Amino acid sequence: MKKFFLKIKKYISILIVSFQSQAAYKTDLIAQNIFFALIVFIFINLWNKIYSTRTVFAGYKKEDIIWYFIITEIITLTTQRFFFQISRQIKDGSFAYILNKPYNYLLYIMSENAGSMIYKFVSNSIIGIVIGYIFVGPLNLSFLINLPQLILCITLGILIHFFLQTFIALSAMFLEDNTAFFWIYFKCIMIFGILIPIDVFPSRIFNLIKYLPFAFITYAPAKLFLNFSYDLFYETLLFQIIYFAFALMISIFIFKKGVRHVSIQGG
Amino acid sequence: MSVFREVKSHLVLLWKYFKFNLAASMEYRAMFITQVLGMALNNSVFIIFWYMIFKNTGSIGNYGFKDIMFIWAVSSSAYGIAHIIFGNCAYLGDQIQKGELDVYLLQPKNPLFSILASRTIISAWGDFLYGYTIMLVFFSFSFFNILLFSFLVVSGGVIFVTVFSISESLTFFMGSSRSIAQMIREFLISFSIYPESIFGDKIRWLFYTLLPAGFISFVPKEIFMNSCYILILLLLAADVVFIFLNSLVFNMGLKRYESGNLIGTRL
Repeated sequence: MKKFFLKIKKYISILIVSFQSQAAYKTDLIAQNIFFALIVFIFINLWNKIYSTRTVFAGYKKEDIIWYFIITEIITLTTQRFFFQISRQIKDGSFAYILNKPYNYLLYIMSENAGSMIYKFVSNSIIGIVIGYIFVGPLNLSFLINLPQLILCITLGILIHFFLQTFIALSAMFLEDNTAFFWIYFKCIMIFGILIPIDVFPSRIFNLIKYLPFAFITYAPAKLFLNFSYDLFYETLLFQIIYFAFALMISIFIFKKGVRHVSIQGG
Repeated sequence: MSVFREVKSHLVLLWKYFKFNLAASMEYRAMFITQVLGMALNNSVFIIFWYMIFKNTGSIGNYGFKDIMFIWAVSSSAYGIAHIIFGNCAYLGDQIQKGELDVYLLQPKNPLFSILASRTIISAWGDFLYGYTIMLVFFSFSFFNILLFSFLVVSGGVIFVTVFSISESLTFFMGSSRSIAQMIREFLISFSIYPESIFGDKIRWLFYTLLPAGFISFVPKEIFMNSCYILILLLLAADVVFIFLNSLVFNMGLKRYESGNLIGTRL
């Protein structure tokens, strides 16, 4: 047990240092908050226009669809850009400095990024709630009763997103350029979970995409927020655990395979 | 006569830069192809989003599905051509900050022109081709349409380059304008690809002044979709004004430039 805590301690130290170092990149983080506010503002305008001639869109009321968008954006923006960071570390060789240290690489990058993840999650949540409150009114507070379950599902969604990004980023050890794969992956998340709830799709497509990992990153947690039910919660949790284990395993696999393959120039 | 000669010599230089940058990009052919196709696929996800929205709504304000496809086509291709030919507009601030402009200042051509043209962004080919593909799929293919569209693309490209370059040039005055430039970039792109009619009158003035998305997609939409050809004069005037402003801000900033004494060559 003591050995385990000693092992974990170094990652906690990395997390604390990374959290403190966020202060050095204040303007970048604020710029990301402003970007989030901009996107929410644009979508509120879009949905206001759409709902000016109707009261329901694909079964959703205006307040629900806007809160849905805010929640899904908070989840995805929490881990945005880590792909580029990890990919760059591999491409420019700075990856080598981490490899020869007594860390597990995947745990290292997770703890290194956890600081900014916490900052982004908290700050974007505050901004999202304030903007949502101003433009569409308060979020139905009944979600507070199920807060622990919701936090669990959101955390798992963020972790799946993080490790799928890590997997694509680590492919830089094999590929000349992997950016295009990330763009496609990210756009799948956008269309199958962020921009519109997937219930909007025809039922045949919906029945297919609701079981894809993208849906469990954003759609399912946001849906739980709006309309919690234990059936949906258990189904979401089951699939999230499966996809999280899958994303983690393929990341470990590609890392172990790739690290033998990688050659880094000295300098 | 000397003005004509100046323009001609700069166009010759631009052609040489273009050929050189293209040849350099093609050196990594697999990367070139994956980035171009990846970016085109990345953009096409929004077709699904807008299709689903219009399938449920019919129209938004005075915008139909084809109008949205047009503003996407023209802004993508404009962004694409801007970054294919003047790809350094996204890195200018970085070079100013590092004091890396000396090598351009010693050249016999306009330094701003040389700096901007000295780099190409490979993925921009994907944006550029995506716009033309949308045109061919959703609009009638005629010589006149393609010619008019190409003019609108070039005009929008001028706005993108000059606005990005102005925001990057703020580094001369602020020490680092990375965050503000990044914000202006995100704002300009985001406002160009959503219907103008979703925004209230209180902010629309921004689209024709500080964040001129109106000259990139909204005015071109009126010209192309509603045959308001007189507005071409407005676009030309906007291009001239933004080129002038860009040159003014850059030249004013250049007086404050501090070299990093980096020894460099441009082959």
